[in-house]
Amino acid sequence: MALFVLQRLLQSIAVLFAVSIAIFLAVYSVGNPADLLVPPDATQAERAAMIARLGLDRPVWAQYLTFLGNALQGDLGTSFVHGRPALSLILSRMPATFELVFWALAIASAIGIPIGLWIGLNDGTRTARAAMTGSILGYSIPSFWKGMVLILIFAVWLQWLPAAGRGETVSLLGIPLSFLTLDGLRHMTLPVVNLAIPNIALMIRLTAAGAAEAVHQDYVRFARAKGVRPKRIVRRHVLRNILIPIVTVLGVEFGSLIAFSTITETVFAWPGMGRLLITSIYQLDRPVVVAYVMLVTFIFVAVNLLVDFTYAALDPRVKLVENMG
Amino acid sequence: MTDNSPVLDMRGLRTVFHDAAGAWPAVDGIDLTVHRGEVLGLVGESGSGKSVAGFSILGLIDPPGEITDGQVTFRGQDLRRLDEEGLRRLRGAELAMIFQDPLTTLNPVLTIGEQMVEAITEHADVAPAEARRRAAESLEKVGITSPRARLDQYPHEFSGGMRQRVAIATALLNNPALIIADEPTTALDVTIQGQIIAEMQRLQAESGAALIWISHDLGVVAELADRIAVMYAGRIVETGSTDEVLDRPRHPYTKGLLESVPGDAPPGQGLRQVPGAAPPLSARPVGCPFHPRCDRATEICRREEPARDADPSGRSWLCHHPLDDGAAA
Amino acid sequence: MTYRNLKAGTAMLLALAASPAAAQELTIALASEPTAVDPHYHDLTSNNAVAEHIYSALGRADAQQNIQPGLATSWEAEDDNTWVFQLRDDVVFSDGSEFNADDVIFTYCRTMNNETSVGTVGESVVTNFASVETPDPHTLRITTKEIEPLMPELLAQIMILSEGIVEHDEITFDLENDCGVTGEWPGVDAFNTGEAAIGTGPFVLEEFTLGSGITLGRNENYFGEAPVWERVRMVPVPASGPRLAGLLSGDYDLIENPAARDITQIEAQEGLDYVSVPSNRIIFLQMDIGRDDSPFIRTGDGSNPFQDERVRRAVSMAIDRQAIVDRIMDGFATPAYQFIPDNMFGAIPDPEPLEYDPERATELLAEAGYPDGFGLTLHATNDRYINDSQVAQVVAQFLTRIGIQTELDAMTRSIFFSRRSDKEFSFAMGGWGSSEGGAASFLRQYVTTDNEDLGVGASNYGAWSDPEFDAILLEAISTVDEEKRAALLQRAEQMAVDKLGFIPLHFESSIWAFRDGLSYPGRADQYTLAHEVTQTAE
Repeated sequence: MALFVLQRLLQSIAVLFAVSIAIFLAVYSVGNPADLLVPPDATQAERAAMIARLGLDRPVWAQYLTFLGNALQGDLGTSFVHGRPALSLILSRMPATFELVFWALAIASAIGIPIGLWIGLNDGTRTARAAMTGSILGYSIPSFWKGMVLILIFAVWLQWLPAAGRGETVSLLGIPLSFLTLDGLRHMTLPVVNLAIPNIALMIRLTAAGAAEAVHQDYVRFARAKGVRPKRIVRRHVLRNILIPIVTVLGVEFGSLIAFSTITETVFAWPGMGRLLITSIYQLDRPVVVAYVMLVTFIFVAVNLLVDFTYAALDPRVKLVENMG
Repeated sequence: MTDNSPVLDMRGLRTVFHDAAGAWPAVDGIDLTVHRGEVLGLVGESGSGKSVAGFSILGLIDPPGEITDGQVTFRGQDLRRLDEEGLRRLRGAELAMIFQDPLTTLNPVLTIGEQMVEAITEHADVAPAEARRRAAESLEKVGITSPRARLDQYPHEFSGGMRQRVAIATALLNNPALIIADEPTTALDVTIQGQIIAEMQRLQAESGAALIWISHDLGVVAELADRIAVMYAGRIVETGSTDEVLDRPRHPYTKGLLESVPGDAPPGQGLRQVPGAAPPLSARPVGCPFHPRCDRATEICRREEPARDADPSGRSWLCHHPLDDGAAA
Repeated sequence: MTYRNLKAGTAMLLALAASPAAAQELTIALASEPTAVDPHYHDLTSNNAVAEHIYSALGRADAQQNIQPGLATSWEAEDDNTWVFQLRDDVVFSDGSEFNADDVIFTYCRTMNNETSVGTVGESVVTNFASVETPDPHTLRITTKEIEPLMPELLAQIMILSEGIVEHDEITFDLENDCGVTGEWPGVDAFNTGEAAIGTGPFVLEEFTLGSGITLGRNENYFGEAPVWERVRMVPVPASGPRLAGLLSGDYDLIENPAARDITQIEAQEGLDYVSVPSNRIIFLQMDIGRDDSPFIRTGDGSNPFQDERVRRAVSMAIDRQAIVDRIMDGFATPAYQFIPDNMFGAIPDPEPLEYDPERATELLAEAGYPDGFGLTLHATNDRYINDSQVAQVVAQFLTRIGIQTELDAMTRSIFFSRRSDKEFSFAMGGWGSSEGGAASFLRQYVTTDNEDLGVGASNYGAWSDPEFDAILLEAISTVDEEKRAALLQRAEQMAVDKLGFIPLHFESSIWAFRDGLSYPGRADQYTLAHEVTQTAE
C-alpha cells in the first residue's frame, strides 16, 4: 500500500512537471498581455515599462525557470490583472465551483442511477429503449441555450428564482458555502440544474449500460437459478458490479466539471473558477492560466488516486501494485 | 413403498425466440421424463436447443425468448402455471441448476461464502452462522479442503475445477429433488472432468436426486446416464435406456454421433464426423430437419416431418427410415 | 383647508408613504468586472467608475466631460508652469478625519510608490511635478517641469486617499524621503479588504468580493448632494444575455450595455426603459502609410496605394456610414466626420459630412492609377467594440464594390492588439475613447509623428507623418490658455480630417436599460454612476 502511494506520488510529480512545461510554452507564446494591460493612451515608455515589469522581455525559458523556482516554493505566480497571487485567486473561487459541481453530481447520481438501473434491468423492452433514446436529449442540448431557457422560464416568466449570481454564504470551516442559506439555495437552484441535466443523462446511460450487461451475465442467471430474490439480485449482484465503472466515471466527471464548468458559470454569473479561467484567457493573464492548469492537473491526479482506491475496495480482483517480476 | 411417478414429466415443450422476422422455435415440442434417482443424459450438438430446454424447465427464459407451449410437471405441479415468485421458491431449493462455465457463474466481487449462504437464506429463515456451517459442510462433501476458510475467499482465488465444485456444492445445499447440469465439465480440463463426473455420480447416488445431464459429449453421458435423449434441431429424435441407445441406435443421427466418438476408431484412420452442420434457428429445413445430412434420406424425408414412433419399453424415435433392430452400429 | 391644499397635502402624504417602501437599494449589473477598489490600481473604465463612488478628486468630469469643482472649489494657472488649487474646508473622510492639502500630497506621493499597480496610474502626471506647496491647509500650489495645460483634467482622474491609512510624520512633497510616510505604502489588497478604502465620495465601501460584486452604503457625510440610494449593489455579469435576463426578472434595477438588438424587447416590455447617449468612442480605420511595400496589400506593381491621398479619400467615400449606423448598429451610433464628438473641447463645431459616393470613389481610384483596384486585407477585433466584426465585414464589402478586393481577418482582441503593436497590419479597424484633453487625446496618440521623448504618436502604427500638423499639435498641447488651445486643436483636427490619414467611421452610443421609476442621464465616458441614478414619479 505504501509502495503504491509512493509510486503514484512520483508519477504525479512527473505529470505535473510535464504539464507545466507544456502549458507554459503554449500560453507564453500567444499575444502580448502588456498590450491589454496598459491604458490605451499609454506612451511607448509606459508600454515598455509594463513589459519589463511583467518580465515579458526575458526569453521564455528564463521566465519558465523563474516560474519553476517559485513554484517549488508554493508560489505559482502573481496575476497580471488582479495583482494577487494566482493560486490564492483561484482557490478563493474554488468553493463556489465546488458547491455547484458537488450538488449537480449528487443530484445526477440520485436521479440518474435509479432510472438507469430500471432501464438496464428491463433491457430489451420498448419503454427501456425509449428512455435511453430520450436520455440523449439530456446531453445534446447546448448548455448555454439550456441555461438561458431555464432563466427565461423560472426567473423572467415565473419569477420564482433569481436570474444569476451566488446568494448569501455562510462560512463552514472557513469555507464560504451558499447552500446553507435560503437565499443561497434559491440562487443555486438553476445553475445546479443546468449542470445536472447532462450528467443525469450520463448517469442514466452509464448505469443502464452497466446494468444491462450485468443482467445478462451468467452470475446473475445463476443467482436467479438459486432462487435469490430480485431485490437482492439488484442490490448485491448487479449494483456491486456496475458501481465500479460508475465510480470511475463520476471521479473523472467531477474533476472535469471542477475545471471546466465555464458555460454554466458564465450564463449564471456564478463566481467560480471556470469564469476566472475564461476571463484570464481573454486578458492574457498568463500566470493565472498556468496556475489554473497546474491546479486542475493536480485535482485530476488526486481524483484518480481516490478512484483507484475505491476501485480496489470494490473489486477484489484488483491489485493496486503490479507484482514485480 | 416406492413412488414411481416421475419427478419431472415434460410434454410438448416449445420455446421460441423472437426477432424482427418472426418467432423461431429453439425447442420445438419435446417430451422428457425423469424419475427419482435417475440420471437422464440429454445429448446434442451446439444449436440443438438442449441448453434452452434446461433453462426452460426452470423458467429462466428472458425476452426475446418465450416458452409458448407445453406442460412441465414437476412433482405434480405444472411449473408453467406458476408465477415468478412461485418459481423462485422452487429454484435453488427443490430444483437446482449447474451452469456450464465455472469462470463466469460466480459473482467476482462477492465471497464464495456469501454466494452460498444466500442460496440457503433466500429460501428459509436460517441464521447466518448455521447457513455458513451448512455451506462449509457442502464444500467438504465436494472435496474442498479447509472449507471454513475458503468461504471467505473470492472466486478468482479458486481454479476452474474448484469453482465448478463450489457450484455443485451450492446446488446440493437445499437437497433438491432435481438437478439440471448444463454441460458442467465442458469447460474443464479432461483430467478434472473425470473427477467431477465421479463426484457427481457419488453425490447423486447419495442424495437420491434426479439428474439431467446435458452434454454434447456422448462419451461422458455414456458413463453416467441411465437413460439418454438425443436432441437435434429442437426435437428429441431418439430416447431410450443408455445401453439400448448406444448398442442399437434407431436414428441415423444417433448412429453418426456414436461413430464420431474418438477412441472407437482404429488408430491412423481419420475421425468420422456427421457431415454438414446443424441448421441455424432461422433456417430449419422443411420435413425432417436432419435430412440434409442423412445418407438415408428420401423424398418423404424432404417433405414430411416424421411422426414419433415408440415401443413399450420406453424407446422412441423420430425417423421415416429408422435403423432396424439388430442392425449393428 | 382649501381643496387645493387638501389635494396637495394628500399627494404629499401618498408620496411620503410610497418612498420608504424598500430601504432605498439599487442593484446594478455591470458589463465588465472591476478588478479592485484601489483607485490607482489599474486604469480600467470599470475600476474608474467604481472609484468615483467611493472617492473624489480635485475636480469631477460631468456628463459632457467638462471638469467641475470637486474637492477643489476653484483653480487657476498663475503662469505656464504653476497651478493653484483652492480646496474645500468642509469635507470629512468616511472615517471621520478632516480633509486637507496633506491628503492630496500623500495621494500624489502614493502614486509614485505604488508597487502593486498594473501599469502606472497617475505616475506620469506626478513625475512632472517640480514642487507642491501648501501656503495654507486648503491651498495647493503645484509647479511643473514641463508645461501641462491639462492639469485640472489630469488631476480630476487621481482619486484622493486619506493620509490616515498609513503611519506618517509630517507630510510634504519630498519624494526622496517618502514624503514623510514612515509605515508601509498601501497595496491593492489593503483596499480590497476595505481597510484603506477611505474616501470622500458619495458612498462608502461595505464589501468587495472579487467575482461577486461590490456593496456600497450611502456616505452620510458626503460634501455634495446626497445620493438617493441608501445602499448600492454592483454585480458583474459580463455575458449580455444573462444581464438582460436579470433586468427582465427584476433582479437588477439597471444594467449596462444591453445588446442593441435587445432594445426592441425592452421597448416592448412594460415596466422597462432605456437611455442612449452618444459616447466619445470613435471607430476608425488606420492605414499603413509608412511602408512602400505593405504586407497585406496586393498591387500589380508592389506599390502602396494608401500613400496617395486620392486613394484614402476613395476608401472614405466608398463607405456608407449612415447605413452602418442604421443597419448594423440598430441606430445606436452616430456617423463620424471627425475624431471626437462635435461638442468636445477642440472639435470642429460643424464638420462637413464625409459623403458616400461610390462612383466618385471609383473615379478617384482610377485617377490615382488603380483603375482595376487592388487587393487588401482588413484586420479587426471580433470581441472588443460593439458589433465590431459585422462593421468590419460591411466595410470590406463596401470597398470590394469599388474594386478594392478586401478580405477580412477578424480576431480576438488579445491577438489583435499584440499584432497591431508589432505593426503587422496594413489596414486595421480600431476604437478610441477620447478622455481628457478633448481633440488632443486622439491626435497626439495616433496622428502625431512617433516620438518617444515627447510621448506622442505611441499608437501611430501606420507611420503617418505630417510635419505641419505635428508643429500645430505640439504647440497646442503646451498652450495653457484655453481659448488659444481650443483654436489650435481645431486647426489640427481639420488638418487630420482633410488629409484622411485616418478614416473616421462612427461614434458608438452607450445604452443603459432600467426599470420604470428610474432615470439615468447617461455619460459620454460610459461610466455608470449610482449617484446619478434618480427616481422619477411613477
